[in-house]
Amino acid sequence: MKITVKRYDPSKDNAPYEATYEVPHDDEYMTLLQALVYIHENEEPLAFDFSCRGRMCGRCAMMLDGEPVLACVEPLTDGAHTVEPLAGVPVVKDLVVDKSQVQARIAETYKRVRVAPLTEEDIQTYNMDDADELFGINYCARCQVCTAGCPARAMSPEYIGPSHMLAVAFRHFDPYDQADRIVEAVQGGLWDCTMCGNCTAHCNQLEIDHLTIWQKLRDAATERGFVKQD
Amino acid sequence: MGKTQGEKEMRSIDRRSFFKLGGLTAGAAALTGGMLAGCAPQSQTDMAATGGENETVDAAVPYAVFDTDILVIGAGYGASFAMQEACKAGQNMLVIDKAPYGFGGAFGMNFDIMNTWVPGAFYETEEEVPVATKIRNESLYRKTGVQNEVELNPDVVCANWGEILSARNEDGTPFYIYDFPTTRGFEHSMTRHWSDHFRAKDYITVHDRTMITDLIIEGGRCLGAVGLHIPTGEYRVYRAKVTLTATGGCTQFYGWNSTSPTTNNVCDNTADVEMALLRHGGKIANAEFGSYDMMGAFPRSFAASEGSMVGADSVHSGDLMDSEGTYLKDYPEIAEKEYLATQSGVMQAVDVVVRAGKGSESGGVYLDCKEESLATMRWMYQRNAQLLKEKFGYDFTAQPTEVVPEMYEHGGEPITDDNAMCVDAEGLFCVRANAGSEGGMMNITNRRMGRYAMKKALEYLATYEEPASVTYEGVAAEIARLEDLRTRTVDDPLRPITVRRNIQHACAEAGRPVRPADVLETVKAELDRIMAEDLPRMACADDSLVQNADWKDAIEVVNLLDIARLTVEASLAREESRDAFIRPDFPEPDDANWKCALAYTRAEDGSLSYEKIAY
Repeated sequence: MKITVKRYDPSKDNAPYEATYEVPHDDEYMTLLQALVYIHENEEPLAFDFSCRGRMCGRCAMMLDGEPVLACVEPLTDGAHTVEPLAGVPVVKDLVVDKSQVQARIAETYKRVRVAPLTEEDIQTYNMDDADELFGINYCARCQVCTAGCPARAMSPEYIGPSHMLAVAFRHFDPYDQADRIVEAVQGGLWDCTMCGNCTAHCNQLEIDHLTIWQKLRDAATERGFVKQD
Repeated sequence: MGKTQGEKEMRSIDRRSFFKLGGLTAGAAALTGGMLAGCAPQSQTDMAATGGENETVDAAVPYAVFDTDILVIGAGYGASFAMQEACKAGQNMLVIDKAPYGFGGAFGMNFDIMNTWVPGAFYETEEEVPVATKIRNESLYRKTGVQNEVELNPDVVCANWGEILSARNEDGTPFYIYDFPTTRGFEHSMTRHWSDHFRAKDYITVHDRTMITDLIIEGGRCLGAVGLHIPTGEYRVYRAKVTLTATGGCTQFYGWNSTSPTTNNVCDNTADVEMALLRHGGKIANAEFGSYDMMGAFPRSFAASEGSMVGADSVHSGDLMDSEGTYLKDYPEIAEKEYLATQSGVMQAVDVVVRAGKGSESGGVYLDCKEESLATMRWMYQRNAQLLKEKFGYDFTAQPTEVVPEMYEHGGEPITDDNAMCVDAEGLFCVRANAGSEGGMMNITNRRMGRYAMKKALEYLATYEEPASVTYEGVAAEIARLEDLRTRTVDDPLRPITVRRNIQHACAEAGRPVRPADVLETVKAELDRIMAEDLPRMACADDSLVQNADWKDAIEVVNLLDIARLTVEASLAREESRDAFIRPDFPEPDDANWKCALAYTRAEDGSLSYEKIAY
């Protein structure tokens, strides 16, 4: 099969360029990551990032034929494909991007807000109403695949995007967090989301039910009177 | 794409010029994370303006110097417990992560870790601490367990680092997957939350995507480390009063299956710090020991991965079968010796089957992953089976899956004194040490060592005395070594990735738990050949400073080759079987001769030799 990779070394190249490689499709369960490893091993050095090979570290997020994917768990059909760095984040080189800014911002949101440390007694109770949502978001790889494929984010750059919004939701549902996360959700663009479901379609963590989570946040915001003003 | 003249000029370094230009003088102000000196001037005009004796423009290798009281190398599970101690003391530290922080190692997989501990265990005196079940420095082991408030309830500690403990009973109380008087455990631990907690601390400055390539060791003291910022190729020189290493074990030499060796561990863990210590004459021990699970090997792109594969832990070892469909539990020898009760015993059981000629081609067996079995497996496996079925149409329940001994942890650690300080380098404290025959760090050991090593590091810091003199000669030599790896040209070159694969393929069999002498001898000869023939031919096909995959491979290959050689040579030397380390020609443990660490040193010519350090 033919794999066309958008390549760029900012220290050497005037501009990004495309290189096409012939890669054998020799595995019934071929993944994009396999093809990239093949190119690096057999053709020429290629910069791409990966670590866990199981959609948990989120480091191999990139665009395949225009769609954001995790290379490690993305099936590759025999044929011609185009691979580009993940949309919406700066490129370091070839398929390696710099997600440090967005991930640092998301990490700030994930930081739990409390007036006092949790005790053994505190953790005996839980928020069972939103237990499924908490369980699911816990698996978020923060890979930015959902955000790269979010049409609402493309329309409204102020919207923090689904990956970051999951962090807001996580601490909203977290029974031990004491900050007002609904204000944070609305401020972050909760109503910019169109509930199109692209995030959940792109996500490889099957536990995360994005649309239910967004609806729960909307309901809570509505209850508080934080509705969208057109 | 032509290279600029300036870039070519940056390729070599003159040691003398390096010292003239840089901020590498003793007694620089302590300022955690503060950048004391920027890049060396790069143009001829700039060089002249420094007023130094710079007869060569070729010296213009950019580097930065950072000074810190405490340098923490590694930012994962063990490092978190170390950082916690320093934060409690209000002590600044500079933390180096090879990966994007929060996304490296097993820690950054954000996989469903199961944390286990002894509930309510608090030991006032060392005598009360239960003895180690593995061979290791018993005295140090006890010291790490005494008056340890973390081990009282690690679930509460982790909850305060952002975890929610998502496994719950219907009434909302925490569900402990193990809940016995001697063991309690919770699963679904997602350690990335810990990184959110620590990165928000004022006391912590993280330099991530930075690979440590050398330790600065002078006169038996560790004075910091040299690193490479991978995205930019910037050299980073870290001066530190105390260096604490908490890097993950290296399993990357063990075979190759299209995207990974036979390990769920990560490709960044290449024993960089330990092999730097070895090159400085320090001792590295316990490389013959590893930890194994029986993990799926097919589909091959997912082989052994924690996030896409199914495996058999000890609870499901009853579902393991041979190539003829006989369950391992029905083998009389396996049943009699109760092999299937422990993880190391499972490796013994698999050996019984493989020796009977009824194993799989890759030296494994098969997992009868029936629906009723899958339904009782840990969620981490169930969710993987779901994903592969949904996205790839591969159904684990439709046929038995080949499972092989997957090495998830590995030894190869420094020898420390009872203060967790390296016996070969004063000021170097080691979290990953004293795993002994356990074959790498388990969660309890990692917590205990992380906390203890930093406590001792803080005590050392409190009475720290500056060294009488400092030359930093090694820094220039290290930068010259890295520049050579990046830019060298040779006849008939081999790309670093090729040498890496040669090492991995060579060790595919020798890395298994069962290590026959003839296999080890063959692999030793091949690794010696790689050292003599392949390494001198190794040259990068890309000389860029920016995120250079070949260069990173080259630096790592030097380390991989040494840790692989240590593993094979120590396995040959240890003439006994113990835990998951199985020598068929020496089937029993032999405490009289081998209740010790085999501590290896490396001679200038690369040859390895060991001394026994009694446990």
